[in-house]
Parts: sequence; structure tokens; C-alpha cells
Amino acid sequence: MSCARPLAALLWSIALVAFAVRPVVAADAAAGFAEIRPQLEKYCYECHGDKKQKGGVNLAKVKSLDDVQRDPAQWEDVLQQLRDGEMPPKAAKEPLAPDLRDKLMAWVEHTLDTLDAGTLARDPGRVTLHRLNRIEYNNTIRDLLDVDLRPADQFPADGVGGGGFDNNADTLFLPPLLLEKLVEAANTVLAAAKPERLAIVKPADDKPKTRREAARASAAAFAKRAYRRPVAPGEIERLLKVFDYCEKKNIAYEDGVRHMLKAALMSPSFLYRAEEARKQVGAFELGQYEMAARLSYFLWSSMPDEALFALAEQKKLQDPKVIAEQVARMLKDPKAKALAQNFTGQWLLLEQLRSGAVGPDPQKYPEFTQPVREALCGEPAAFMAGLIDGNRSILDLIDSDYTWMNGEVARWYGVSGPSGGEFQEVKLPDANRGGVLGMAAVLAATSHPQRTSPVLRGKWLLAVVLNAPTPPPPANVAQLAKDDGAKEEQSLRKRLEKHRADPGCAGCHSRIDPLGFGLENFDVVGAWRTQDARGEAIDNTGTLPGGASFSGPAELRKILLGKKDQFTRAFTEKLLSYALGRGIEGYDRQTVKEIAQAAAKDGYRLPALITAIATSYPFRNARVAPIVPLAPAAAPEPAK
Amino acid sequence: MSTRSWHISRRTMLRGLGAAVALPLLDVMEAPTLFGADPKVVPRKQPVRFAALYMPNGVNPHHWSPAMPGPLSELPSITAAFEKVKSEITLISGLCNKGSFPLDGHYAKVAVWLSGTSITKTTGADLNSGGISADQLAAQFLGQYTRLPSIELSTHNPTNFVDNNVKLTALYGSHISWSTPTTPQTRETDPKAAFDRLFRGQGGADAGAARPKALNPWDDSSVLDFVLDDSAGLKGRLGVNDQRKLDEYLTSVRDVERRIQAEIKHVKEPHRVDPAALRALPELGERVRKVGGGGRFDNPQAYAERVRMMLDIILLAFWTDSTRIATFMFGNEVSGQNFSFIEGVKGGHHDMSHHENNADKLEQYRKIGLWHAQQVAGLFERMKAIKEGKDTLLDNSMVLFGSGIRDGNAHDPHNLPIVIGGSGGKTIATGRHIVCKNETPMCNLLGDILARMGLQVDKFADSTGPLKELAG
Repeated sequence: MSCARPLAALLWSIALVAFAVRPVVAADAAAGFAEIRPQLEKYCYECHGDKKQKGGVNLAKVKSLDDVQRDPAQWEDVLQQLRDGEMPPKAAKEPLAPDLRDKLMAWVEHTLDTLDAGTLARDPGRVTLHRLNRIEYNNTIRDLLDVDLRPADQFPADGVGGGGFDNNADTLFLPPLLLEKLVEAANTVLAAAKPERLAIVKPADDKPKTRREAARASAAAFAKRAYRRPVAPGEIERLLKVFDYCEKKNIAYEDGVRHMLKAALMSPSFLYRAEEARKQVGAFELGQYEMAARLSYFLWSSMPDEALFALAEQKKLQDPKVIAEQVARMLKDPKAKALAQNFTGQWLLLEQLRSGAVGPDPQKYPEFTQPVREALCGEPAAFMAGLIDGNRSILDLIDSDYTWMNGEVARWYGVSGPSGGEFQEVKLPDANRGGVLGMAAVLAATSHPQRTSPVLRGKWLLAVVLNAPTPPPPANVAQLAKDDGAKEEQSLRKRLEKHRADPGCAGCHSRIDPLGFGLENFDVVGAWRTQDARGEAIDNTGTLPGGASFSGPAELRKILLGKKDQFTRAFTEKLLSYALGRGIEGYDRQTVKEIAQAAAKDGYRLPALITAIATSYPFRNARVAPIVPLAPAAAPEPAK
Repeated sequence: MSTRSWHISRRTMLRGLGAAVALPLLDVMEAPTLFGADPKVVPRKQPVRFAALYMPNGVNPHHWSPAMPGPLSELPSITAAFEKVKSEITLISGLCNKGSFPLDGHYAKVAVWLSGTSITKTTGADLNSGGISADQLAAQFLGQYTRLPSIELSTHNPTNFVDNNVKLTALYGSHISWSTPTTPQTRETDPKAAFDRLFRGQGGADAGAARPKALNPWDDSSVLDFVLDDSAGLKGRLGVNDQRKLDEYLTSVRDVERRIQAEIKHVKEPHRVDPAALRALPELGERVRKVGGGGRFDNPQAYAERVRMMLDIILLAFWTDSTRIATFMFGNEVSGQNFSFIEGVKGGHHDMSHHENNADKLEQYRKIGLWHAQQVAGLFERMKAIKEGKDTLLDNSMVLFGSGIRDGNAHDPHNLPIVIGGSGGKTIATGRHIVCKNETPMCNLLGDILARMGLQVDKFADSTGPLKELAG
């Protein structure tokens, strides 16, 4: 943890506590506390008790459930530490048994979940000044100038952060290397744009004053769209200085105006999505133009259109009804393809496969070429777009009797019908596939280059579908060979079972492995098989820690459908993170819960879920971080 | 056009800016206090260059270090790649970054390789390497002498992944150069773009063809001056975190402005460049155009060629004194780069690094390490062939090559594999294996490197003093 964050969080919680009324929780959580407290005493008090308060945490002070409810943030932190396997520490005298860890986590979750929403102080979170990422830059230039040159394809790749998306504001930088390319991109797109798109006004005569006034008209008209908000006279005057410079150099009028507009394209007001600070520290409702930009960059990865600007001018974009109407309108626009395309691959962790950083061994699977990779990664994106266009349920992502294919994907699956590059909906012939679990891209991304991995697939399922990631394995742990195992005496299942016999491994692997075995009929490149590399019949059965057993992908999917609310919340967290451009924090719990509930009420339909996000509290509000001088970086801790 | 003088360090500049627009105290300005006081700059007559070449995933530990300290005689099979330049290198054992110990896994070891600090555990919101890296510190004080303060290169785009199991963004594993603790230096991954950026108009493509003909390339100054003005207007309306982002932008604007000034100066009073270097430029320009874009993984053979080009670009940048500071990453940490173009290697790099003491995998891991060493040895040989007065380009350089872990199987951060090519202007007694006391800070070496470039720091991160053995 940084030095600064706890301090900022502390100040923040002081600000909130003043308004917080004691929350009310369900009775069974209260009953549970009597049972939980002795466990806290046993495993936590030694370091976080009355004698020692490591990290400033004293759990012994928590004497009743009321005390728990007074500090939800503290308990979000406890939950996180338990989930990451960081507490109790590895060196603790008494390790925490996996089932007890689960029980503690379940209790904390339940307690936090049942806090009364009406009485909780809310925090919309902080979104950092957001540089347009590569896709947003391309699309914004396209919509601003009507030139589809995709100049940002030449920019350095954006990193990812937060929920795992490349639109995460904190991890978007603007280094000198990019700045140089932005200057070149501005030259290129302005040279290609038509004069009317640049709002170039021809001066009536050649007098310097007339020329300057005409240039001013261009600057005003252009900057308003480029900055995505009304522009102050001082800002236009600043742009005109660039025009004046060109005039002094005797540059042709139109060239001078273009040079001035280049300045607009280099302005931070164009390159960044700025949400202006308000005077008071704390939460505030976003302005109209800020809402327009949030909506358009969420759904289109691009700037607002004229209709959104008009509604912003009429001050209607904080009205939930208007927001819902706009979401419906915007999702029908072809530009909304950007949402499915940019969100889906990153959500499903397919980008490493798409880029070739991971994937099937090219010698063993030479037919898994780059065009095949890209087509297969397009399948889930097309599927997601289908959910939006068809007003369908996100539960189809778990289980469906259809998928989307283009010619390349159909060839890969050996299905006749689709041809060409366009994706179309295809009815599946049997229940083996359906939803994302039957998609070759997902199955390949969760395999080793030479063999399938029930562990990677199970881990992926827990992290992506159920949002219950497992902590990393201890260092130096023995691993299974990564070759195809054709020469092994025992099946992969037998070898994994042996591995699981170690109680240190069993805690997590009893949850991970059975899920993965349900998908063993799919090989490294997602093809259906009934035998492994050793010629032995595939055993696709599994028993989950709760006792539920299944055999094969169809039954596994039914079990996952039984956890549809857990999935809906997992999905909501990711989409909300994408929509906001920040990671999801403990204080978002209530919002995520409400959005998921709204979606459930409306048949889990994706457009309903998107609307619930766009009308949610953190989407319509923001907060200014208190200005806290950050401490200098501490000297590294000495090694033990 | 701007008339500001750029002969001040960037850090001083940031401070001046802070005073001018009444910034609140930002960590971007505060973190370099690791050094106590500003480093003292002692410009050197003969420039000394510094490059750091990072190999991900550690190295087969059984084939790297010679058994005994002292003069290099017989080398183990990986470092044997340096046989032809044995008298020009220094192998150092026993170094480590203690700051990288607390967090398990790969990523924590990479971001701090050149800073000796500890990263903040985050998926992105509090991204912080704990300190500025040695190369960037040098660039901030010495960058004023060259057209580019530094260059940062790789062949792979940053790993676009948040590891939910360890709650870390893979950005940490993709950056060794940090200009501030919160700003990783973005790397150029396309050889052609890297070449054009350095050698525009000297064999590199002429950018800005779309600019009005009557305007000089450096008329962008009027645009950049506008940006500085415009940012000041926006700044007053932003919260503190946003101001940090805007500062990052302003620093970049000033960097580019500074570069434009340097280009103008370069045109007005071209400094002496070895004519042989100028002849070599168009040839490399041809090659980079042939191999095409970088950042991808699809073609292993093209990967090998791109690596070679990036190393040649560094060589030419040093030779022409276009920059004196460079970093290069062979790949991001946990790289699964396919090395099947090496005979006998079947798998990806990271997989092989987790060899579990299996003889076959260890051998493949050794071969991958050897390939890396061969690329670096080739660079050393080419640098040795270039004369600079009585000495060679290699003599006047320090090229650090190594990894942030030793044995990849255990993510072992002790006794890092480290070799330095060149003698830093004949100040390092090369041709030896130096064995330091176990857990000697890597920063002792980094502090020495900075001193040899003309940057005297009392202390660099967790350094405890100079590596006296270096001078012989």
C-alpha cells in the first residue's frame, strides 16, 4: 500500500462519518457474529488487538456487530486480505484452514451485503484526468473530422490497470514519445480533413482584421466540438495567437487556420477528458457536458454527437429518464459496436492470446494462425454485440444454444453456412458448446501451449465468471510438466489428484480443478475430443467443494447458471470498471449490488444492465480527492 | 518561438513551474529526495554512455558465473558468449535489490531493477515504482547535452493484463525506466519508428510532410507554447491527482520543445560525427524498413531480427552522440516469447524458466539465456570495432546486461546475473569476475555508473557505498 492512500482514506472517512447514520443489518448476520468473534480472537488479535495494532488495525475493539457496521471500509479490507491469502501471514503459528477462511469470508461478505443502503454514506470514487486511449483517439478524430485514418494505430500501446482495461485513467500516460506522435497525427489528419469539417470560414477581404475575425469564427466553432464543451473567450484568444504567428510569417490563410486548429488538437482539453474540480472537497454531481462525454466514451469510445450536445445545453443529462432514452438510442447506433469490441476481449482475458503473447504451440498447431486467432477472438465480441442488439440476457454468456461465427470461425469449428468476414448468429447442433465456455478463444487462452490445463481453466472460471480469484501458489511449489503428456504413465487427472493430496495445495485446488475438468473435452485449440494424448478416454466429471457433481460442459454450465446472481455481480463489476475508467473499490459494493438487482429484475438483459450503470451514482457523480501532500517514498524494507 | 534556456535540469524546471502556477506539493517533485541533495554534475570531456539491457525470466544459474573471482579465464557456457570481448567485460556476483524482496512473483523485481526501491501493490490506481530509475536520473541531468535525453526500447508491447491473483498490473513487469516514481517511460517497440525518431532527415523518414511548406519543422514551438498556456488555464480547475497527470503532459511538452531547440542548434552548429557513422545510418534505415512493425509475437524469426535492430539503433545513437542513455527490454517479465528458432528449444521462455530442475528444461533454459548473451556479445564486439580517438566506443560506454531474478524457477532475487560491457571511459578494470558480499545492493553499482557518467550522488536509493572493486 502506498503511504498516501490510508491517510487520504482516513481523511475521507472522517468527512463521511459525520453524515453516516448507524446502518441496520439482517438479523442472521448479527447471530453469526457470536460465532465469528472467537475466530477473530484466535487468528487476528495477536497482531491486530489491544496489545499490538499492526497497520493501525485493532479488531479487538470490535465488540458487537454495531462496531462492524460503523466501519465498512475496514471490513472490505479484511475481506480482501482473506481473499488474497495474505492474512493471517504465511509465518503465522496457526495457519487458517481453507474452509474456515471461506466461512469467515462468507460472513464478512454477508454482513457487508446486508448493510442498509439508505443509511450508508456514498462515495462516487475518483476518476483521474483521462487521456484518450488509442481507440478513443481514433474514433474521436473520425467523428470530429470525418477522416478514418486511424492514426493512433502508430501510437505506443496503452497499458491496462484497474479492472483490466486499457481505458483505465490512472494507467494512461502521455510520455514525450507519444507527444511527438500526436503532433504528427494532428498534421496528418488536418491535412486530410475537408475545409467544412474544420469550420474554415473564408475572410471577406484580405485586411488583417477581417482575416483574424474569420479565423476566430473557425476557432470558436471547432474548439467547441474538439473540447466537447462550451469554450471560454480566453481559450479562443489563445488559439488565435497561433494564427497570429502564422500571419507574421506570411503563411497562406487556410494553412494558418489549420496550424491553429492543430494547436486545438494538441490542447489538453482535446487530448484528455477533464472533469473539472469543484471548490468543495467531496462528492459532486457531474456537469452536463461531462455527462455527455461519459456516455459517449462508455458506449461509443468516442466523442458525443450533436444530439448529446443539445441535451447537455438543455441541461437534461442528469435526468435518469433522459439518460435511459439516450442509452437506448446510442446502443442502436453502429458506433456502439465499440463497446462490445473493446470490453469483451479484455473482460475475458483474451488480449494476450490475440497478440500472440500466449497461445498454442505453433509447431504442434500450425493451423492456429494469426488470422485464426483474430477471428476466434472476434466470436465473443460478436456474441456480446448480439446481446446488445437483440436485447438479450447476459446469462447467455454462461449458457446458450447459439453463437456467432464468420467464415473463418465456422471453418475452425467445421460448421457450414457462414462465409466472409461478417459475423452471423448460428444455432448450435448440440449442448456441448454454448456461451463463452464453449468458445475456442477462451479454451485456447486457458491452455498451455502443448496441453490443456484444468487448473488454468478453473482459475479463469473462478476469476472471470464468478469473481472469486484464488491467491497465487506458494513459491517453489512443484508443477506438472507442460508437454502433452503422451508419454506419462498416469492421466493428467491422476497427476493433479496426487498434487492435491498436499493439504497446502488442496484448499484452492479442490475449488479450481473440478471446474476445469468439466471442460477437458476441449483440446488446446478448442476442438472437441473424447480421448487424451495418451489415448485414454476423457473423464469430464467433477465434484465441487459443496458436493455438487457434474459431468461434461453442459452440466457444468447448468451449475454455473445456478450461481447467476454471483455471475451478474462479477460481470457488473467489470462493466462498471470499464464504464468509469477506474478500478472497483470496496465502497462500490452497494452500487454493484443495485445494478445487478436492476438487471435481474429485467430478465438479466444486457441493455438494462448498461442503463443501470449509466444512471448509477458513481456514473453521474465524482469526487475531488482531498489535497494531501504525499509522503516521500520510503526506503526499502530490509530483507528478513 | 520559445526563447527559454534549456540548459537547466528538468527537475529544476519542474520546480520553477511549480512556483509559477502555485502548485500544491506533488509527489512527482518530492520522490527524488531519496538522494538527499541534488547530484553534482561534472561534465566529462569524452562522453560516457550508459545502456541497460534487460532479460526477462532470469537465467539458468548453473551456467552463468565463473567459479572463482578474479581475472576471467574459462567462462561457463552462457557467459562464454563473451569470449571474444572477455577483456572488455566485468561480471559481478552477489548483487541484489532488497526492495524487490517483499512481493513474491516476477513483477516486483522488474520495475525496480534500476531504482532499487519497492513497488506499490496495485492494479493501477496507486502505480508507483518507489523511485526514479538510474538511467532516467542520468537523463534528467545529462540529457541536455544530446538531441534526445534518453531512449527506451523493447520488442514487445506492454503486457495488457491485470493479474487478479496477485493484484498487480503487468505494467510493472513491462518497464525498467521510470522518469518519476509514478511515470513509467513508454518504450518504442517498432524499430522503424525508433530509427526515424532518432535519425530524422539522416536516413530516417522525414516526418511532418503534411505541415504547411512555409513553416519550418520547428515551428511546432508556437503550438507547444500554446499548449503550455492552455494547460495553465486548465490546471487551476483540476483536482490534485489530475494535476499530476497534467504535469506529466507538461513535462513531455517541455521535453519535445527542448528537443526542437536541440535540433535547431544541431542544424546551426552540427557537431562532429564520425563520417563512418553517417554512412552506416542509411544502411540500418533500409533494414528497419524491411522488417516492419514491432510489438508483436507472431513471428519468432522476426523477433530475433528486431532485437538485433534495436541493439544496432542503440549503437548508432551512441556512436552519433544522439543520446548517451538507453534502455532495452528483450521482453516483458513473464514473457512467453517462443524461442523455437533455437535448435533444441521447444517452448516459451517463461515456461522454460520454471524448469523444476528437469534436465531437459534446464538445457532449453540455458540455450535461451545463451541466445540473449550472444546478442549482447555481438553488440559489444561491434562497439569495440568503432574507434573514438585512441579508445573505442565500447571503452567509452557501460552496457549493463542482466535480469531482476536469478533462477526463474524460484523467482530468486538474490545474486542477480549482471555483466557490464565497457570500461566507462577507462575507469573500470575490466576482464574480471567481481564477487561481492552476498546481498550487496545493486544500487552500489548503479551509483558507481552514475558517478562515471559525471553525476555524483551521495546515495542512490539503498546504496551503502561504492563498489571499490570496480576500479581494480
